[in-house]
Amino acid sequence: MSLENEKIEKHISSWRVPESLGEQAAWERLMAAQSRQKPVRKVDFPKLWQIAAGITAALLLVFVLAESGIFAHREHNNTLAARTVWLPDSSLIHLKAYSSVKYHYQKIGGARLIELSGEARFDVKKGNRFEVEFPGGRLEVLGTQFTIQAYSEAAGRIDCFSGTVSVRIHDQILILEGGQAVTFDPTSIDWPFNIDPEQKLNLPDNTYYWERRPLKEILTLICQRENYSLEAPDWILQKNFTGPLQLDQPEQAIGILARAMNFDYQLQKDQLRIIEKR
Amino acid sequence: MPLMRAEERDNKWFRKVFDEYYKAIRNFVYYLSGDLSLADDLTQDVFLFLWEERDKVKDETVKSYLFTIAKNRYFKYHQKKVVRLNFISKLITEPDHESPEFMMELKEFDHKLQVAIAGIPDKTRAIFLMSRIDQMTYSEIAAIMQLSNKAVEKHMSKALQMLRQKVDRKL
Repeated sequence: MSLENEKIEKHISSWRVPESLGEQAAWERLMAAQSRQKPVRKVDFPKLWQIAAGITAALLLVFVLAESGIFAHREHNNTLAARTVWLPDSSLIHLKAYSSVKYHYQKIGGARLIELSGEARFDVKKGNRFEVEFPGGRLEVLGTQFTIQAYSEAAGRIDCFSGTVSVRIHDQILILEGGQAVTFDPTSIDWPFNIDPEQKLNLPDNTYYWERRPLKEILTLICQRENYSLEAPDWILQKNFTGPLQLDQPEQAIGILARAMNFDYQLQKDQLRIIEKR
Repeated sequence: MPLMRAEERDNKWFRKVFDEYYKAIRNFVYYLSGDLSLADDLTQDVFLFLWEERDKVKDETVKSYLFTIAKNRYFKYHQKKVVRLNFISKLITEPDHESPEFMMELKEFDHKLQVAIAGIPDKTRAIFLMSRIDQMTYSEIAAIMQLSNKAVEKHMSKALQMLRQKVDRKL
């Protein structure tokens, strides 16, 4: 560094900024100015915007959840007697033994969405879309009266008494008209076969009538209702049965079937074993 | 220990920041403007603004935040066309048994140097004086002025070169 530079730098290093107020007085002046400012904090628009966005998102979430059915009504019937569930539009669900139903109406479009597990007969009032989801499929109502038996995906049956229903099972769409029925299990669909709506609708609670239906269908229904597991030779299950049965007394119903269809059975620890008669 | 209220905590934090940076900000505004009352007023404005924005400012960035507000406000609203500096020199106010002739020469040199330094560009002058009066490192100045160390070095050598030229011409 040259002498001139050194002299300049030495001199500048000796400089001080002149005092005016002094630090303490400056602080007091600052506090006075601060207290003169409006006590209300400046409106923080980004924060307000974030709050508004948060509220909107929360409302949207509640709406989406409501539309998805999370707040749907639920009805269970754990008794043997059928229960009647009135829907807000006056449609009726006769909820049969050991069955449950969940329903909600969408705000957009007003679709009536039902989820069924078990068995129920529906009397649907005309109006917006009426859909029933059940183990193994989905049904859209185009008419008025029908029954769904679907305790599990293992087997189910739909009877249409009047009007028309469109059923989706295994990605197939089936149209059932009044007096037609369909049965299904995970590997097959049997449809349409005819039924007598008048006779079926007039049956007492827990009484069923089958017209040349395979034993598999009848025994599966009994087992699903009672939570039994079923073991039986195929050739016996393929036999057809015609007649009424009262399923509120399952052992009696199995006994009647055994005598009528000529087989023996063992019922132990919730396991129904069908065996060939000796 | 009882929890400190948010307002009380804010006040303590604000006082601490004020004590730490008040002088540096006031000096900085003075280096830019050469105006003592502007230095006082603008420094106050900068701290008032900091108080308003305290929720958004982090401790680690408060120093450069204050300098940036001061710099932006000065150049936007208060920039002076002509700067007149009036530093107090310790060599003159606290002489060390110097002769009256030497003191006369020193005062004359001091005056010429203040005029010369007032004539160099604002930013270069502020950088040079922060380094030489406030003893800030190049890295500190670089962080405050949002420059690279290299750029600070360039401002420093430019300031020295201009000072030498101006002082030599006047001597």
